[in-house]
Amino acid sequence: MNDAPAELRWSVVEPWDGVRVHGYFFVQHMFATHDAVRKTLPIFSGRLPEPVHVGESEFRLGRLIGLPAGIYLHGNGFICLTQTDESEDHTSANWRGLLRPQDIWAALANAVAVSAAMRKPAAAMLRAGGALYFFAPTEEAMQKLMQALTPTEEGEPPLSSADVAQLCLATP
Amino acid sequence: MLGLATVLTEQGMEGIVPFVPPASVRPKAVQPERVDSVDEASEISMGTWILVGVIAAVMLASALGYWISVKMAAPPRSKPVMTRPIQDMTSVSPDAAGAADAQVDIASAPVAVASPVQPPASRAESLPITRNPARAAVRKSSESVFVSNPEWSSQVRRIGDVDPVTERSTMVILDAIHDVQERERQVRPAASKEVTRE
Repeated sequence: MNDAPAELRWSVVEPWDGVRVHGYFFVQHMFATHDAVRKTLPIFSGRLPEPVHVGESEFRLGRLIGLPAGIYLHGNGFICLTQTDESEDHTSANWRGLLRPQDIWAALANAVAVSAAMRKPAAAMLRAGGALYFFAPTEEAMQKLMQALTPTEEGEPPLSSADVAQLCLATP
Repeated sequence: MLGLATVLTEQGMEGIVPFVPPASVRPKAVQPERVDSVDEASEISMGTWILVGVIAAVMLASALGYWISVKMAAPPRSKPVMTRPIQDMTSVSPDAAGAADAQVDIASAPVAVASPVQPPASRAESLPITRNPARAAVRKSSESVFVSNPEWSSQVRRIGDVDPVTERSTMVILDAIHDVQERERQVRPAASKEVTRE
């Protein structure tokens, strides 16, 4: 019997600006009869993550107010799911043009906020039309992210994950 | 452990990239204590200066008030008057003109010469306020006793409004003054005669 953790079957894995992008593309109506978690996270085929928070839950870290679409308990940590705007379905052919950089940074920002609030590791995932992404940051990407959400003055206005993403994009 | 997973499996997550939550910014209101102490010292200094100013103003006002009160209360300085030794007129009688000549010599002597002049207080005691019987008889007969003396007419007119008792006592005083003036008038020609002789 093999005790090694079962690898997830990603459609694509590519590096992008200090982040390793994992993409899983699927046809949405294939999961129409499945439960909500499987429809949202179709990459998991065995034991499904357990939903903890779904929508409208704020997680603060520094200037950031993270507002993820859902939190799922998965193993020793939490999956932090961010939802993109409506768009055409992502495929292995068009995903590079449809995946927006600000969505990558926003998903990472929400994940760090959840990790800080829940005191556990978090996995940054992004749900788009016909695609589920997982972002594995490098040390450099993490530093850029923490620099963007660290307040420099007292009384600074809070930032959303989209604002933090814009700051990360502006940082060279 | 805080961090983001880099490996995701069916069972869980691995390869955690840790991060340190950002420290909160120290509020601007929190300043070193020495700054507060400097402000406190300056406040004390300011208060001391205000107190000193108030005390100085009160002292100046008091001094000014005292000076004004002294200035108002002080009588006007009289002109310097050359005085002569006071002559004792008690022993002089209007009838004894010859005897007065000897006393005039003493009265007209220079100031430096010692003369047997009595002190003013004793002179006032020795000067009797006596009425001249002849004049009193005349006064009773006439309405105004001072009509004959034109210098007193104005005074008589002024005191004519008062009651008779006051008028009479005033007249006694004026009569005594008149007597003294008459005696002086008689003495002066004799004294000038003596000086001319010398």
